[in-house]
Amino acid sequence: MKVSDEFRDQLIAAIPSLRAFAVSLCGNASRADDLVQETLVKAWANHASFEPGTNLRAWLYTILRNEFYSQMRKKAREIEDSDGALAARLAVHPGQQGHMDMVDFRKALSLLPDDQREALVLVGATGLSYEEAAEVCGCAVGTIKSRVSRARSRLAEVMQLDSAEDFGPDQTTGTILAQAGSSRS
Amino acid sequence: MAKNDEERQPKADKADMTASVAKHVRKTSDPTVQAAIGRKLRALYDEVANEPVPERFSELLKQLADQENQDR
Repeated sequence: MKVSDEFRDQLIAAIPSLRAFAVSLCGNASRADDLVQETLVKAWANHASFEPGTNLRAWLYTILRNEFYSQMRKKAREIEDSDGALAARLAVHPGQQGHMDMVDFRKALSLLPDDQREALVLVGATGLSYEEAAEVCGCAVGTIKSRVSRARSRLAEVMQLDSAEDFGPDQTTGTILAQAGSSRS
Repeated sequence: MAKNDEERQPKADKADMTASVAKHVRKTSDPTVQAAIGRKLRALYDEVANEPVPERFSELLKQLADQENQDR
C-alpha cells in the first residue's frame, strides 16, 4: 500500500514535536535529529500498521522511544559514562543560556531518572493524555501517574533548594548548624 | 555517635525540624511551584518545537516518496 499524501503531510507536521521529544530523551540536538530520521523511515515503512483515528504523534513517539532505547542498549557502556551523558545533555541549545533559572531547571530535569523524565515530558509538555503516555511507554496508566508525580516532587524540591539558597539558610540548615555547634561543645 | 548527638539535641530543635519537613512537603505540592514547573517544561519543549525544521527532513521524505514510486 502506497503512503497517502495525507499520511505524509501528517508526518511532516509532526516533525517539530518529534524533534522536541527526541531532545528531551537524549539531550543532544544532533543525536535527536538522527533519532527523528530513523523514526520517519520506520513510520514510512510501517505506515500500514498505524490505525487511522488514533493519535499519530503518540504512535510516532512510541517508534522514536523504542529506537532510542534500542540504541541505548547497544551503546550501553558509552551511555553509562554518566558524566559524559550529562555533559552532552547540558550542552544542548546554547540559546537557552543566559536565563539562569532555565539552565538550572534543565539540569534538574536531566538528573531525573529516565522513566520519570519521559513521563513528565509526555504528559506535561507534549500534551498527551496519561493513557496515551502509558501506551507510548508500554506501561500502566497508574505507573505513568506515579512517575509524573515523583518527577514533579523532585523538581519542586530542587527549585525549593534554589530559592532557599537565594534567601539565606532555611530552618533545616539552621537546625543542622545548631546541631553542629552543640556536638562540638 | 550520631545517636548521642540526637539525644543531646534539645526538644525544641526536633520540633523545628519536623515543622521544616512538613513545610517542605507542602511546598513540593504547592500549585504555584507546580505551575512554574509546567511552564518551564513547555518552554524547553517549545523552544525546540518552534525551531525551523532542518532541510534534511524534507529531503528525506522526498527520497522516501521517490523510492516508493520506483518500487511500484
